[in-house]
Amino acid sequence: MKVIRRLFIMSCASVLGLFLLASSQTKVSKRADETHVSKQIDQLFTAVWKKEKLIPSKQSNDEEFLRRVWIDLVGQIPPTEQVLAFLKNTDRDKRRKEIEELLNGPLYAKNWADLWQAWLIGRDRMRFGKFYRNALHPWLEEAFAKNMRYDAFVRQIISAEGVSDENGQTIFLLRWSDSPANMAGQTVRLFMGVRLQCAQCHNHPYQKWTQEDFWSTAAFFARVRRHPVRDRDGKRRAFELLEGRRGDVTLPDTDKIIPPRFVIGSTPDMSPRENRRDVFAKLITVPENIYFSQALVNRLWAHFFGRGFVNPVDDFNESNKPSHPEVLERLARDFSDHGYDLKRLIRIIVSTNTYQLSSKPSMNNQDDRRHFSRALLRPLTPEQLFYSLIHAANLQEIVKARGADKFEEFLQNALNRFTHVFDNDEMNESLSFEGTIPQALFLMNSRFSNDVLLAKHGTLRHILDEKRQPSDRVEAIFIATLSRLPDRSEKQKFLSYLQRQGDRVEAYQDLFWVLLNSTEFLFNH
Amino acid sequence: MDSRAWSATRRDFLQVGFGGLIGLILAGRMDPLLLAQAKRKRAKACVLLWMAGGPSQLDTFDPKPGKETGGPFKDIETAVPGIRISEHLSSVAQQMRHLAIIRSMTTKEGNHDRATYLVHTGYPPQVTVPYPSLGAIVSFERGNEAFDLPNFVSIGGPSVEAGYLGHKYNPFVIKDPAKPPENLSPSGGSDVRRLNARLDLLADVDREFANSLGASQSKAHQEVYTKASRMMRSSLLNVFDISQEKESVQKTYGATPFGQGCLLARRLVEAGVPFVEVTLPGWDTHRDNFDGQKRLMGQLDPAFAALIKDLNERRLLEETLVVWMGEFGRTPRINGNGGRDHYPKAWTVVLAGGGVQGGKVIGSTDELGVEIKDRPVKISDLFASIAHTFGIDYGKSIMTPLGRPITLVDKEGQLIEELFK
Repeated sequence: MKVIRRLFIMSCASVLGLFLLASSQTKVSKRADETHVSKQIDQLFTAVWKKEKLIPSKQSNDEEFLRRVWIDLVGQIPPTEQVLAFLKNTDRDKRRKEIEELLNGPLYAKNWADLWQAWLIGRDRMRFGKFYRNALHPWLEEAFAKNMRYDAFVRQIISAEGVSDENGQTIFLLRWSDSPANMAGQTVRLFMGVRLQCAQCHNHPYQKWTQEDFWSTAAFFARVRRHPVRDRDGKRRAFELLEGRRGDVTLPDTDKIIPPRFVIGSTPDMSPRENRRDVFAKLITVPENIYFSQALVNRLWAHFFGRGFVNPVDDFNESNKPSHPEVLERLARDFSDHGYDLKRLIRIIVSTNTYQLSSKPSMNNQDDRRHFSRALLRPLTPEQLFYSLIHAANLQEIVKARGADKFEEFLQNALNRFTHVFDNDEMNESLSFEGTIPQALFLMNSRFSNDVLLAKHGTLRHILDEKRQPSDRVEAIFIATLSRLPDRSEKQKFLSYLQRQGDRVEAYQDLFWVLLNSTEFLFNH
Repeated sequence: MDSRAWSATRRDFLQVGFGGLIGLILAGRMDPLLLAQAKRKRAKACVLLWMAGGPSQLDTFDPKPGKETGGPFKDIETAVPGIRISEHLSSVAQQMRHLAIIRSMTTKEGNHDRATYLVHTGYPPQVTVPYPSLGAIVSFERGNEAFDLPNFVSIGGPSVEAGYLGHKYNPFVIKDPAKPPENLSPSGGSDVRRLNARLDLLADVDREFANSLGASQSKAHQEVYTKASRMMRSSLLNVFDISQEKESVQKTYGATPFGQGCLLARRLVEAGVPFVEVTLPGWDTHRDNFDGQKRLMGQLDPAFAALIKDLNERRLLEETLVVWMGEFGRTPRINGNGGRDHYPKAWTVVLAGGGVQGGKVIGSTDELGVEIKDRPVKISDLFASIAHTFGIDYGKSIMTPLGRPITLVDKEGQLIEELFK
C-alpha cells in the first residue's frame, strides 16, 4: 500500500515537474514573443525617424528610467533604497526584471484602479462622488490584481446590475445614468475612442456616423433603471442598478422609436425580453470592432508617452487620423490576438527602446512632439503627485507612528482633499501643464506641505540623524525627492545655500521644499 | 469637459513659444458702432452668471403660461410694462429696466460639454484649435499684467480655459465663496525673507532643468509660481472675505453659495478684476423639471436682483456687463418623467449693464416656444456684442503661435444693434 502510494506520489511529482518545465518553456517563448513585438515597434519608429530626419535621444540613464517606470506602472516615485540598489545593480537584464517586479507587485493594481477610476467617472465633486469612489475602487483593484481580460472587464461594466456598494462595476453607468444618450455617449467615447454623442442633435459633416446611429446606440441603454437603497434609518446607502422590461428612445422632437442597432457589425434580432445591454456588451467587444482595441492601445500609449497616436485620445474620426497607424494597428492586433491581456500590452510598450529614450533632446529633436523620438515631459496626475509626496516625505511612517489603523483613513481623506485642489475639472485627462495658482499655493503653503516638511519621523529627520556631512545630506535629499544624485553645480548651489542660511534644520527644510516644488518633481520625464 | 481635450494641442501651441504670440492684424471688418460711440462709456468688467446644465427658458424668462408646453408656472408683470417673466423671479422682475432679454438665441450643440464650450468661446469645439473662453479673452484684452489678483476668477465652477491665449489667462477657481482662498500665507511660520530665499533657489533649480530639457512647460510652471507668490504678498486679499460686508447686504444676496458668489463677484469687480464667472449648477432637469427649476430660481432670484441693484447703486453697472446664460435651453415638450431635455434651437440669454439698454426684449419664439419667430441670434452675434461693450474690436485677427490667424469672434458674428439703442 505504502509503495503504491509512494509510486503514485512520485508519478504525480514527475507529471508536475513536466508540467512546470512545460510552463516555464511557454513562459520563455511567451517572453520571446513579447520581446519580438517590442522590437518590431522599435523598427517601425526607427524608420519613421529616418524618414523625418530625426536623431532620436539617447537611451535614458538608470535614474531616469527607474523614476519613469515607477510612476507609470505603480503611480509613485521609487523609494531611496530602491534607487540605490538599482543604480548599484550590474545585471544587464535589470530593467526587464524591474518591470516584471512592478507588474507583479502590490502597488500595480492600486495604481491602475486610480487611473481607471478617473477615466471612468472623473474626479469631480458630483453629488454621489464618495459613494461612487468607495464602491468602484475596490472592484477595479481586484480586476487589475488578477489581470482580468480587458474584454471581460468592459462586458462586466456594460452589463452591470445590482446594489452599488457590493457591485463596483455598476458605478460607471450609475455615474452617467441621467439619460440613455449620456450612457451611450460615455460608453462609446471611453471604450471606442469615438465621440458619437456629437451626432446627438444633428449629423456631422466630417463624421461618418449619423444622428440615427447615435440614437440606435442609445437604445441599448433605454432600460437602465436606478433606485436609491436606504439604511434602516432612511439614509441613502447606495444605488441599485437594474435592467427594466420596457423603455425606448425616440429621435429628438419626434415620436419615432429607434430600435437598438450597433454601428459596427450586424446586430442580431432581439426578442422583446432580451437584455439589451448584454447584447451590446458582446457587440462592442468583438475582435472585428477594431475601435475597441485601438482605443485602449491609444489610451495606454498616451499614458506612457504623454501623447496618443490620436489626440485627444477619445476622438478617432475621419479628419483626425492616427499619427502612426502602423504602430497602433500592430499593437491593437497583438492585444486582440492575445486575449486582451493588459499586462502583456504594458510589458511590450515599456520594454521598447522608444519608451526608454531619454527626455534630453538630441542634436535636432528638441521640437519633436509627434514622432516619439524623445520622452516628453508629463505632469504627474493628482494621485501620482499625492503618493509621490507621501513617499518622498515618508509620511506613512509619521501617520503610522500615531496609530497604524488610522493610516488608510488618513490617506483617503488627504487624497480627497488633495485631488479637490489638483483636479481642475470633470474629466481631467490633460497631458499638458495645467498648474494653477491654487495648486502652487497649496504646494508652497498648505498644512499638508507643512506636515511633510516638518515631519518628526519623516525623511528629513531621518536624513539629518543618519548623515553628518552637509554634502551627504544634500545627496540624500536629492535621491528622496528627485530619485537621482545632484550634479556638481547643483550640489554647489545647495551647499552654498546652507552656508548662507546656516547649517540648521530650517535650511534643510528649505532645500526639501525647493525640490518638492520643482518642475522636475512635478513632472514625469 | 471638452476644453481639456484640447490640451495636447494647446501644448503644441505653447511649444512654439509665447514669443510668437500675438501678432495682431487688423482685418477689414469694423464694428459699425465703435467709431460712432467712441464717447460712450465702455464696460470695464463682466460678470457671467453661468447656469450650468441649461435652464428652461419657458420656466424663466420666456414664459408660455396656459399653453401645453408652458408648465404649471404663472407669469408676472415686471417693472417694465408689457414684459412678463416667471412668477418665481419676482425680485429680478423689479430690476427689469436694467435687463435686456434675448429670447431668440439659436445654436446647434445639444451635448453639455460641446455646448458649454461653444457658448464660452463662440466657436464649436475643433480638434485643431483650442479657442479661449470669454473670461480669457477679456482678461487678455482688458486685464492688467501687473495686477496682484487674477484677471479671470471663476466662482463655484471651473469655466472654460484660455486655449491658444495660454495658461496665463486661465481662470482662478474659487470653490467656496464663503471661504477666502486657502494657503495664502506661508506655513510653518516662515517669514517673507525665508520665502524669498526659497523662491530664489527654486527659480534657479527650475532654470537649470528647463535648460537641460528645453521644456516650455517649465516656463509655465515658473510663471504660475511667480503669480502665486505675488498674490500672497498682495494688500488686496481682504477682497475675498465677504463677511466684511454688512449683514443686511449679505442677506439680500441670499445665504446660498450662488448668492455669496454674486456678492463676492461684486467685491472683485469693485477691486478691479475684469472678469468673474459665478456658477449655479443643477439646471439639467431631465426629471421633475418644475421642482428643479423652481428650487434653482429660489437661489437665482435674490442673488441676480441684488447684484444688479447693488452694482447700480454703486454706479458700477454702467461699466459692468452682466450676462445670464446656460449652455442651451430646455425642450418645450415635457417628457415622460416630468422633465425637459436639451434644446439649443430656441433659448434665452439675459444681459444687463455695460452700456446695454435695459427694459427690452429682443426676438421672440412662437406660441409653444418651439421655433424662433423673429430675430434669430447666433452665438457669434452675442460675442460680437459683448466685445463691443468692452470696445474690443471683434473683427480683429489674432496670430496664433502656429501662425494661423483667427478672428476673435467668428466672422459671421454681427452686432445686435438693438442692445445699444
